[in-house]
Amino acid sequence: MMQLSQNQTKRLTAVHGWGGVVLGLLLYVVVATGTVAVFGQEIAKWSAGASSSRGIDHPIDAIVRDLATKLPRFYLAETSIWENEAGELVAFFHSHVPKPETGENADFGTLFRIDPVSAVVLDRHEGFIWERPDTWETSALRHFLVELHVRLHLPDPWGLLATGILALLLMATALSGLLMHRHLIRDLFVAERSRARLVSARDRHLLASSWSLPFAVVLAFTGSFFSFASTVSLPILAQVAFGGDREAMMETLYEPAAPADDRPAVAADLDSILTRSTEATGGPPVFVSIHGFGRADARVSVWHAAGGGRMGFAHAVFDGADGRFLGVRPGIGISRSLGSDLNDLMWPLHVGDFAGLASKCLWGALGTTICFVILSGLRLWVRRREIDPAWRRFGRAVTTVGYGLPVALIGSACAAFLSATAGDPFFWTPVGFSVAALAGIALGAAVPENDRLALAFRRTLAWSCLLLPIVRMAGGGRSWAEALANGDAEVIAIDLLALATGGTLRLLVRRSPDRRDAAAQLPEPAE
Amino acid sequence: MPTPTVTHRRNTGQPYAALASAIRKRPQVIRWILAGPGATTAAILTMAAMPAWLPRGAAGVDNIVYPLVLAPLIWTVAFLYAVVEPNLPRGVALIAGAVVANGLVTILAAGGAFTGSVR
Amino acid sequence: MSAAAVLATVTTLAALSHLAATDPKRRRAAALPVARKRRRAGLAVTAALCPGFLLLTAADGVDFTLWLSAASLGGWGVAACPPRRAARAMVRLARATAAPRHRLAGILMGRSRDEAAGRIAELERRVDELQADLAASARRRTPAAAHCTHEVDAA
Repeated sequence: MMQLSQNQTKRLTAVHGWGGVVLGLLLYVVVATGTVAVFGQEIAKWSAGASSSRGIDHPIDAIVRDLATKLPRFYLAETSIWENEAGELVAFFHSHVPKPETGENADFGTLFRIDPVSAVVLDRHEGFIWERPDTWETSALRHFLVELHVRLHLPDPWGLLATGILALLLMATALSGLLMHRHLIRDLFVAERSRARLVSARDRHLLASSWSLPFAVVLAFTGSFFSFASTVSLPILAQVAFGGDREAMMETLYEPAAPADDRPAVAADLDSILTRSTEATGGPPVFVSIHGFGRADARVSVWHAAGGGRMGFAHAVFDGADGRFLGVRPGIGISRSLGSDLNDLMWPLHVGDFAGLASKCLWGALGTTICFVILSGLRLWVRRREIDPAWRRFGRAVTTVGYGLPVALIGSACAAFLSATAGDPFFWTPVGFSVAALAGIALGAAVPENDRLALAFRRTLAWSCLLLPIVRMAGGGRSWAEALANGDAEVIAIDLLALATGGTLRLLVRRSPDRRDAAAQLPEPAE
Repeated sequence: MPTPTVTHRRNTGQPYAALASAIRKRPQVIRWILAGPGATTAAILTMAAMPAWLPRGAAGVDNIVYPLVLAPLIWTVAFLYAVVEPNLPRGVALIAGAVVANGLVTILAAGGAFTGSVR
Repeated sequence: MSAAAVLATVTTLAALSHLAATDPKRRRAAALPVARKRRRAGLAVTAALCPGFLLLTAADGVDFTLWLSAASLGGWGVAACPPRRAARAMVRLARATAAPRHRLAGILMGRSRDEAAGRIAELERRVDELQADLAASARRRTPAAAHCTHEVDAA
């Protein structure tokens, strides 16, 4: 690795260590929730009562056409169609209206939830829909998890800025670690040495961080891109390159609008468009957007999930009046270029959704590795300073957050399940998280010795995991027999994962000695 | 590889030398400013100036997409450079140079000086 | 996950396992003796990285990304495995796969199964003869040596 002077190494160590100490626990929260959010779709199916039927796989043209004829033309300016995890078809007919509070344009219209098989409208909502997640989001638990990961439940733009800063911290600590570690290649296979606590903690941290370094950089890079692109970079670029004209920038970056022609026209057949779009791109359709439904200048955009060797989404565009195929567009720009390819890679590389469950599992496992790296780094920092009571207290805070976060997440899941039939899960899910988090903090404050605290948390986490499937079923969730009959493997897989985690933790608790050797508590030299 | 050492200039009559000696008197504060606000400002202005000189590419969007995507990397490079640079005055000069040069380009671009090439 | 990505990952992990098993620093840290097998680090590193290059050039980005992530994860798993336990597992694996490996080697070297078995039997007979000669010469030298040889024979 790069040869650095003592002063340079000292500065990098300070950045690496203090950056971790000051923001490491928050970073752990963001990475851990992101790791769980990788399985957001599966969690939504598990928690919301899944259905294997796919809304867009059924013929939808007649349903959408029927709903559109009953609405004023104003609402047909934009139409968004997708399927939710409950297998329902969702259609949102809307226009852009200035919000009374801010004066900024926002989507205003009518949202329908429809049974795609019987074409019965299950639910209808009107207004500024995106502000009310209960109208379009299937799972309160998934919504809570994703918001915690993306915004830490802070208002815009502060939440995105906070998580962006945390992503930059991850990148700075990963790369400073790379520069600091002089023997990265030589130590790549040095396993944890036992019986020497500090050295073993160091080995554990170095080994995990060395192997997960490329993924940590990719995760941090893509994460900070998503946080800063809309909040910082795009407004600045719009100002510099387009004189502040955001609409001009959007027209350059995305599909330019067709020449305006508001004469009425019979809308093209959506089912035929979806079939041809799937043939042209590969991968299942996941989102349809119609600009100017029933007008001569209508445009239909169909987005497809990854498939056929493609990592990102595919975007096919059709003429909405005569159904002509206008081509496959990249995520940004109207034709492919290196820049648009780079942009299209950001999403799949961040969420790992590019090769079905295999890539998601790998991304979940790598996310868990990053969590391990963060916590092992913090523990190493504390062990080097264990003689100081203040750092011992910080060590207990690390244990509390490390184990408390999964316990709190299970608390939020329990609250979502129990309130699904008798209450508002969008209200109770954060409440469940807060109550479980406060209970974890209370446990952390009550047990003064770190090893006993870890043991108590492991016990709590083990029982929480074991009870989770029971609470789910008690809250009206599908039984395994129903899930099997319906072909919903996600429900059984997540239940089994919870049971396996709980069982493993119980086994670890039984094997771990109640009292650690007092001598092992004393600080030791690193090497 | 020999450890890099800071070379102290003797010609104190030069304005650069006076500035360098002022920087060396408060290395910690200057390093904090350089790696914190300095690196952040340099990264933001570098990103902002990029559309003015980057080619637009086949799709006509590369000059916007590259700065958009590369912004986190630009910050990381500026930040790590500010932390690692052994010669603090040189680090200050380089980051300040990047801020001034990119700031000028950004102001000119925002004022429409490169309208033809940017849009 | 495609077959190409799985094959590439297995190849890389096999190469990484060899590198881990013969890594001098890892063995020293675990108080294990120097590895008997030759390390051939350059060859093993090439074998670990080659599948990635092949995927990148011949297949698509999906397979390459899957390989990279699985190799990072598997590499950590291989390296984190306690060296003594890993060494014991390798010995067990070598014993369990000895017969099929010999058979495969025989087939690859163009010999029939019977021919290979005949050669092994011939070698074993020769080893027995040499051991008997050694024991006889030791008995002639000293009574103590003869006693030891008896013990060896008994064992």
